[in-house]
Amino acid sequence: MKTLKSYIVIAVGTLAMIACSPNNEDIPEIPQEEQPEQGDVTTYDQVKFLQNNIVEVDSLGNFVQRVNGAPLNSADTTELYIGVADLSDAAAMFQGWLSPDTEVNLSAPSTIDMEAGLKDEEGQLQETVYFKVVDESPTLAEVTFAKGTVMKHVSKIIFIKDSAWPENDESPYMVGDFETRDTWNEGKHWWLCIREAKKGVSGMMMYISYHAWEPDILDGSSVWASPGLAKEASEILRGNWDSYVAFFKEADRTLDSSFYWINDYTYSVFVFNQYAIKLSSGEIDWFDCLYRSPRKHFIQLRTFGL
Amino acid sequence: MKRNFKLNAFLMALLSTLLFSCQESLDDQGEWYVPGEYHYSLCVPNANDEIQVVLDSISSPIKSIGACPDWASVTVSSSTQGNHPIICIALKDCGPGVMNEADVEIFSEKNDKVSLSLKQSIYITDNENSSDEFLTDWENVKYVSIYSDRSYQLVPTPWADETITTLPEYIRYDVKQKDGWEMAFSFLNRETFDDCNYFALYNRYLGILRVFLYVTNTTTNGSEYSFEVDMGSMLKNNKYPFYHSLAYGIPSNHHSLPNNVNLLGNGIPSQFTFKSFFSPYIAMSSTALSKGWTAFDIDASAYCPKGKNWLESGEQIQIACRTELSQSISLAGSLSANISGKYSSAEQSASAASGVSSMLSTLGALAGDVQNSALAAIEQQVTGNPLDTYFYYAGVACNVAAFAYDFITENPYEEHVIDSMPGKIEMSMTGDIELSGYIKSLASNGISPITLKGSTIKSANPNSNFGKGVWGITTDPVIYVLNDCMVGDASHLNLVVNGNGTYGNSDVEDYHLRMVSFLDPQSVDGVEGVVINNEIFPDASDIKVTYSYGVYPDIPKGHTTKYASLLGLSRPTLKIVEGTEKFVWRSKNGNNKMKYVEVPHTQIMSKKLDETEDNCKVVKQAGADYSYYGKVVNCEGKNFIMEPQVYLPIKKTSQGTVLCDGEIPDFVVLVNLSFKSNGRTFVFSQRYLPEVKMVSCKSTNYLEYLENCCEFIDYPREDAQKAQDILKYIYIK
Repeated sequence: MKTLKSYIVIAVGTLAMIACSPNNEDIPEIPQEEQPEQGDVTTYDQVKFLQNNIVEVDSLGNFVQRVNGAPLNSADTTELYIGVADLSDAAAMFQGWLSPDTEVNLSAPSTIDMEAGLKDEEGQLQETVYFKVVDESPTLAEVTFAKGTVMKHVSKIIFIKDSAWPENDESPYMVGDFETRDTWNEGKHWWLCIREAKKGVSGMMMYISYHAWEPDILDGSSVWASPGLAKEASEILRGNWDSYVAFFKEADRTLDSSFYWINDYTYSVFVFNQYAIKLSSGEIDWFDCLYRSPRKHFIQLRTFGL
Repeated sequence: MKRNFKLNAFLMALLSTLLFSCQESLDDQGEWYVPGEYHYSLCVPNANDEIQVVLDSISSPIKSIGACPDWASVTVSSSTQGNHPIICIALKDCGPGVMNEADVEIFSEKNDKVSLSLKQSIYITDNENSSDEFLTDWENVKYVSIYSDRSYQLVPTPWADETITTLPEYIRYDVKQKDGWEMAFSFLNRETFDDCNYFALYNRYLGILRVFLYVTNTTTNGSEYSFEVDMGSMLKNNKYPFYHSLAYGIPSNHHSLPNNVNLLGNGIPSQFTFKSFFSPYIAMSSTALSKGWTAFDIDASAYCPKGKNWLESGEQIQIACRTELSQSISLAGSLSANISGKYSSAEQSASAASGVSSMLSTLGALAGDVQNSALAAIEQQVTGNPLDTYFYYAGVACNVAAFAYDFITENPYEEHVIDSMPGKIEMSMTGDIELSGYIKSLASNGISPITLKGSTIKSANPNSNFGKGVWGITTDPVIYVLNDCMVGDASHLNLVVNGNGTYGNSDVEDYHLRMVSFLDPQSVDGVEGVVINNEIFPDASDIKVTYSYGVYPDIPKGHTTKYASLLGLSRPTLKIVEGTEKFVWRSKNGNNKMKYVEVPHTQIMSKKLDETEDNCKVVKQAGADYSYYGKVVNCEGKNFIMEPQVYLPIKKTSQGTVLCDGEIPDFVVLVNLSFKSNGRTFVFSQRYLPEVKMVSCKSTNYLEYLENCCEFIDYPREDAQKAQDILKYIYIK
């Protein structure tokens, strides 16, 4: 009996070790037809997706960086403002923040007011977000939340006309500028500005890794780009793809149609699927990293304001 | 058996023939083609000359040409225009007092039929049928004899109280010798042809040839009418008097110009460089041909250099009255549809041509009290002096004056004032007015076309000043563009060089990237700048020249191309980079050939032009990928931006937004001349096209410009201030 218990402990311990060491080449092989190598990511944590497109937070909900919206009122920094040319720009921007599987409905006929129920990956409703036209110049529209407690560091987003933006500061970086900063595990390298900071819209610096990496759930790769931010970056890059390819080439980096690791995954005892984005299309797929050892470059994204 | 064989063979042959015939009627796309019938009506010179005509209704080669008269031999040209054949008509001088007509049939290889109706204009060498009194003292003659319907008639002169005319009063009474009018020619009272009742007065001070016609045949069909005028196609080097008669003036340094350039656009089949369509002075009631006197002006004010005597040159002018048959293809409709969208007759109508009678005259007439009118304000602005009692004004419809009126008096134009330029023939401005079908839609109107020769004018008035001109400029104005500097709103920028004159950057629209351009005043107002005919004005004094340049943003890009090509004016490209593709150009790079300087577009404002952020805006050039920033003013119903900041072109492609090398826009230079002579003040204005030259921001000639542009004129030159602000800033950088 004692011996049996020992064997069980050893077996469990062995299995635990295997689970925690995905790079270990001694992982028992499971027939590959039972475990797909790659698949579409079709469901998202929709709250997390939107959250990281407004104010990126860490796993504990702590503020990491602003992405869209800037507080103009120091008394309430959760009310964020964005300058836009017109209402259609505001509506397009709002829809771009939502994950691909978020269902958006028109609130009322013959208006562009919208609402979307934000669900978790199990399909459970977590929060409802509203986009409402406001006809009080210079305000064009507002984004609000039903519960108001789910999203962190943002209670309302107000779209105002560009011309009403109070400051006229210039972005510290222009598209194509480089900045030397620390990167994840690769030391100091050039980050490329892919978007300037504008009125309420943060600028964006992007880093493509030099090496191709194999994901390790324990190694702090949470600083890789979040899915929402990665999708936004993909949209920016696709707007002028050839130019960005040339800019990255200056930094000795390759921007192409391959997938790049981002900060999301699914994990359980028998599953470790790391997410990656195809920047040339915006498609996000998962890749089996438990039974396989895929290597890809990762991307990091950093935002900055005026 | 044999019989059947023969029958079968016959049937086979017949079938083959039918099939072959059917095959001939298939066009290149394999579809059945139905031959068409087309009619061209042309008035041709009575001279030893050759003209070319594009048969723009057919698109296959010519198969056969029918019998031709001995005075007009029609042959096929080896050239084509697109896929349209061109015919050459060799004309023969048939002598004075002769007007021939003929019809020639032409067939194409696709069996299209073209009926070519030729009417040869009349020329008359003397004026003997008009009374001496009319030739020498016309203003006091109340009745004049004309010939019509095979009989002589006495009709009131245009200035008689009970005359029959649609001419406004300020035209029909403006015929006095003391005001500079001279008799030019008179074909009145001549039995030779019906409805050849032309006479003309020439104003030696204004350079206007005012042609009067008495219309007797009112049974003509047609709606609107105009006068087709060819100002000579025989000589290349003696067109000087008409250098102000086209859409853009021509400086007198252009001694020889080709005669067969079509500046008017599609639909004008015959190739004449100096051709214009003029609509006459008309009142509001009707634009149709009606009985009585009508008149139109030909601008012959351009200075003719000494030694070039148009009257002795043998060159000739051809005038034909044309009426439109189909309202759907009216001249006016085409003009307005393509230019301003407006065409209306107004009470105060002005002449036509490329703008002989100016907005000034309209303003003056409306203002009533000339001393306090807008004219006085303009005069004050131009010369610094109050207006004299007698004020004469003429010249091209005055963009600068119109603009000056706008910003000096701060009164917007009356709508009908702007539209009071009916038939203001601006068609040449675009060079691409679609007039297909126009010539073919002309109705017969029974009015004889005429040819006017120098000898005819001399016989009416041996001392005629016609052809001498009044004023002009002697060299092409020059606009400089810096080829090594561009400005923008950003502190710096980065561009991916694609290698084909395009540059990638997703945010380039926000940078407001612009070229730097400025007019060289020496080119207009230098030592040999403006010339005044000292024979006409021996005592010209207080000579003032003002000038500026600008663009018409709503007229599609390229409207000056044909003229610039005719005059050999260069239109370079501003290259940001000369080099290989796919590298990144960074503005902070000190070795760039193209420097970048941050000069926000809202910080360059001209005091003289009263520019402010409120009245300036970004305006896209029609038909182009570039824009302008500046103050938009209304000149004769068209938007005009003076001294604009010109943006570099931006295109949206499937690969994203790209910036392009700079394109030179359709700059137009406006020159205003005023001076005093014999107690009177004269104001003239004209549009010209510039030569565009690239120059470095560090070059000597640029520095000289900076130094000279404020000292050249003896009063403060705020018009240079705007360019100076940019240029000094750039130079310091």
